[in-house]
Amino acid sequence: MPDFLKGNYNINNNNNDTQHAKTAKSLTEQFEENALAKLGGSICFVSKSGSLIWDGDFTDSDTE
Amino acid sequence: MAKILFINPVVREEDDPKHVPYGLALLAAISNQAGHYVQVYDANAWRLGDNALKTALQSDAWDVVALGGITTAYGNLKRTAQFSKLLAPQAVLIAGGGFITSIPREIMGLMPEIDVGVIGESFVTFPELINHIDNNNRNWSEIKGIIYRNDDGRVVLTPPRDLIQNLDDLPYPAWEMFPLDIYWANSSLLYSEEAFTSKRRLDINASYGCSLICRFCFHLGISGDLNYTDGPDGGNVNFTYDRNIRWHSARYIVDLVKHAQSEYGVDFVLFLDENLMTMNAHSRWKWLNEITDLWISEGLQPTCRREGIPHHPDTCIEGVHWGGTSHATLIKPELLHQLYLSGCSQLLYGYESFSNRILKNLGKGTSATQNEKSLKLTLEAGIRPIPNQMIGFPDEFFDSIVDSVNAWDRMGIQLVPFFATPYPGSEWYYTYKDKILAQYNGDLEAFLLDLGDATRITAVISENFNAVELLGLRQLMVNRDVKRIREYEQIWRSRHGEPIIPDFVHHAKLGTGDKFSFHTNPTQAIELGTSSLSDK
Repeated sequence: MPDFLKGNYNINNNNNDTQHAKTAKSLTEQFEENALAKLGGSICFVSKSGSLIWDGDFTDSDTE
Repeated sequence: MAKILFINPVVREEDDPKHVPYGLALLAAISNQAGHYVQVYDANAWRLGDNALKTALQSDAWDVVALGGITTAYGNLKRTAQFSKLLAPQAVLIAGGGFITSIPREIMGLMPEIDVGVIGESFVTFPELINHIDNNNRNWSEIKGIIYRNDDGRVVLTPPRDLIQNLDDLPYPAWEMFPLDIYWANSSLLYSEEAFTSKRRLDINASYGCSLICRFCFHLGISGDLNYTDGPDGGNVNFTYDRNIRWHSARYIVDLVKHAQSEYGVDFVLFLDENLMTMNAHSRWKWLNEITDLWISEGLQPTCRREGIPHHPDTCIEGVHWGGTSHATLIKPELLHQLYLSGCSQLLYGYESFSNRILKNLGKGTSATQNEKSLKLTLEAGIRPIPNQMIGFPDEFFDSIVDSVNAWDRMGIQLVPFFATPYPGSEWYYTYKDKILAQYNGDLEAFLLDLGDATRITAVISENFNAVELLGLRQLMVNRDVKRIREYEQIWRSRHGEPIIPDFVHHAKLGTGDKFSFHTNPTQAIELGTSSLSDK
């Protein structure tokens, strides 16, 4: 049972690889976490963590 | 030969030293090439305080102490100049860079320790000055592109210095004279995964100047923008929409990167150029293709791009990634793909706002739609866009603030915007000079000392909001709290009525020598009234 779960019963689960669960972050997640913590000025980014829903509808002439 | 001590002042004290000063490194290389005795004290990298500065100044019998920087380093530059005059009085104190080019007469007044100031580009002027000093010739009037004090104590501006036309004549920067271990420790930048994992980064200027006329921008007098007015003792400088933009050849750039890689083990290069894309457009869309083709054929393509796998520092062990600057209207998918293949990981876009009204007034030549589209195309190409934004434009109002917040939300942009800041030399500075100085009781030096990197609020140039309002509105923007922004709009209108909307739109053509001008057009406010109350 992972040590980060606290409750009133014990989960019958052998998966106690808590270290892996805590550290298994992708490079993108690590980058965005760090950028978010120091946000300001030119430290800014477009989140790739699933929050971007693009609904743009452009024509080629938009950048002409 | 002359003994020269270059001093790089402390800048952005609250942040780690991240950037080897490119101009100073070039001047050190030029001086070295000419056979002079050169030492560099990089106070910004070392951060050792006054005692180390004093030790450096007393370490030899310097003929020249040379210092320079941008306006935000003013406080440290002044302190350094004072110590220099005290501890190395025999040395000619030469100052250069943006801080003195933008307002030379004012700086000579505020810093009486400066003997000679270099105005605009220094690549020819500085070595000429050193030769004069080496020959014990103090007749400064013979040298173009400087400001100095004559025997009567009057400040004299000599005729302008032409910009060099072949940038490839420049030597490589003398990076070896800077404490690179300190910079390596701070190589990581929060701009992209590749920049974030960089272990050894150096910065390069591949071009000089920018063809755009953004109202907030100062081009350091090296973009063809520097102009001289008539008057006693050489008149004064002002800045125009004239442009003379220049870029290095692809061969020079790629060879310089290869040199950085082979000599220093560099894995990332940050291009400091004002705007890579405007240079590319001026080269008839050839320049960046030439650079990236050569980048790849000369073996600088990173492993991850060559093998088509995600970047990871453990597996991406060859090649050099890079980041640069871009413009929303000057990119195409094919170009972005080529940049990506060569190793480009991020492009900085000065979107500034997602309000068409603000953008039209800004001189940038973009629209909100073009901003959004370029962001999408850049992401699709695998490159991270860095979507810079500002708040506090002269014509900022609730409609523009909400337009931007809605766009950030729509695109997943995470940021805290810059404050619109009127740096000396920019059009905003000249337009709002009286208003700026009024905020500092008429004390220019107090304004210069207050200036930072625009992440803190300094002089307000907004016609409608004061500093307290801008701070609060910025926080509400960051929180995406449109509801409270709208509530405050009701309060604002009940107190002030209609907003003042200055109109910067001009009819000047580039290259005509037109100077900055604007007029206020409050009649536009009436049209804003209804649109700003309807959520987009």
